[in-house]
Amino acid sequence: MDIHEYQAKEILARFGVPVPRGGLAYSPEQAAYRSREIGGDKWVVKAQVHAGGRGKAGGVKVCFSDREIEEVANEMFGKRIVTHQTGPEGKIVYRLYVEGGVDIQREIYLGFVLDRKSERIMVVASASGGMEIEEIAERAPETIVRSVVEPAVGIQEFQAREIAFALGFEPGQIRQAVETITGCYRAFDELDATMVEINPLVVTGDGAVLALDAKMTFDDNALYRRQEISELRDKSQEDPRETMAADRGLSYVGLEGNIGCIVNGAGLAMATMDMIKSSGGDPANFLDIGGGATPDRVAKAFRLVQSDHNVEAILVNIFAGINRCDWVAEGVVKALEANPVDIPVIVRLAGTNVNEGRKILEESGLPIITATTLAEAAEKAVSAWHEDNASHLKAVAS
Amino acid sequence: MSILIDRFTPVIVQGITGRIGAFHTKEMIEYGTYIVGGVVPGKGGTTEQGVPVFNTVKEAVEATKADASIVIVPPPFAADSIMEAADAGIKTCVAITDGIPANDMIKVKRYMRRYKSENRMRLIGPNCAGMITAGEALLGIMPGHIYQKGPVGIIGRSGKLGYEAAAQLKELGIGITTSVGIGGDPINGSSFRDILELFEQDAET
Repeated sequence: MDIHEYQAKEILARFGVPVPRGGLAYSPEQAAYRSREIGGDKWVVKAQVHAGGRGKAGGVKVCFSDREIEEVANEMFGKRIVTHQTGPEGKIVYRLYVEGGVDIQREIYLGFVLDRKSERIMVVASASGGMEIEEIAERAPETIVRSVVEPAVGIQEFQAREIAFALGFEPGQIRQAVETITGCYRAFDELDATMVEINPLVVTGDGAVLALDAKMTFDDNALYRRQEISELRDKSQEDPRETMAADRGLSYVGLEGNIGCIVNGAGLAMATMDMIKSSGGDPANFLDIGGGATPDRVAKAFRLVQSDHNVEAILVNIFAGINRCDWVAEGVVKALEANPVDIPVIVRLAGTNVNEGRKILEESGLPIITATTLAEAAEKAVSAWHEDNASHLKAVAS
Repeated sequence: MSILIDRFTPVIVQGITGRIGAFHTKEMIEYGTYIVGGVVPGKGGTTEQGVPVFNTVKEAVEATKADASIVIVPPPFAADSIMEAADAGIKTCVAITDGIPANDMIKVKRYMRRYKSENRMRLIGPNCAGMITAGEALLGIMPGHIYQKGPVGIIGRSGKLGYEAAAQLKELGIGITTSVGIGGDPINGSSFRDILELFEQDAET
């Protein structure tokens, strides 16, 4: 789960990471008021959206008066910010963060990630901050400092000091840098984050170390024990169909095609999409209904796929292990009875209780096309979609 | 031959009395797996699916001489169950549970390093379908009837795609020795390489 910059800064500040003075605003008037609260003669107005690259997309503006702040805020609220991380539809701005302007002397990159290879938390840092880590890796790979943290004892001062010296902090700044590095690690570890990124971490003209931007991502699997984090979720920043799916225990990604897919298992869902493609069709979505899917969840999956108006055929592919074909079949029947569809529905069941499942489908009397193998299911889905389209065209023509 | 398990491997089920645990214990016993007991704290002394239930893994290992375990407990308690198995001397542990926090898995992997590599438990998963030695033993949640005995070993991250592979091989008349699902989590027990090394040493695969 992602959170906003201002939320990440509030959290990190509690762990001793120095951040600029700032305040949140829901209206242009409030934004102007924040600047008077903060004081000074230079402020930065920052759009709070879940995406990097805001600066280039017009989501970060420097202002020199409260009138200017009001004008800038007026323009930003409700605006769609489109960056390389948002996709073409962008993210809408509902909150602004106003911060005191900072005199930047140098910019540093500081990141914490879950390293799969060492199976530990790894610090990734570079003296070439301000650009994204992918860009640093390409343009200045020799500046990247990596350090793996021993989980039994957590990060040690010497380790943070080594990183700080390698990043070129001056002796008078080492104390602040060490506090920043250890604070970020503790926040990562204690709150079940999967990523913490401060880019840039700056040194100001008077030698202070400050986190100018902050990003945190949290482990969805650990949210059950992090109530204070799950409360920070902002659904306005998520794809509505993906949110609807996640709230129902499903994993959904919308695509451009017209054959809707309902599959169990992420691997099988991807293979199913490949098979549709190689049969000459286009999948409308990725949908994994997960293990132990009940009839009720299958019915919800149907409603979700049908809510996409591009869907002109639905392919259900279930290879049951932990969930059973008879449950899935019950779900399919329940969904189609409650919500009859006039598009072809192709169902392929295999695995645990497969015969019971097929029997339920047959006895339902519903016009379901069945298949036994994955290849057959994909071919039948594509040809049924073609036939259905052709008959619609005929009906329109006559 | 096969790798990791055969019909003589004594197995305990951690989380045997849960709805899903009980269902799959029944399936595993029907397949021929030598299930010798189960562990659920507080349910020691009872019986489930015809086998005794113990309060701790240590008690279960002492009483049944179990070598292997399968973890089918909810995510908040799964990491603890895996470490309990490692400490009780279990040799092979399959963790089925999906949704274990990554931080917990960091701790599990760190904890397992307390044991010398020759005594260290081999962990398969978590977030996997488990493993099966065709015609002998099932230590997982896969539908047994799609696995035919033969010379091919299967390793897969995705459980359902592993089923698909076995079913398509069977369709072509090709059987398998053992199929292992290593699971899809960022931090897991065994890698493709770990399992490949075992297959390489197996004459029948």
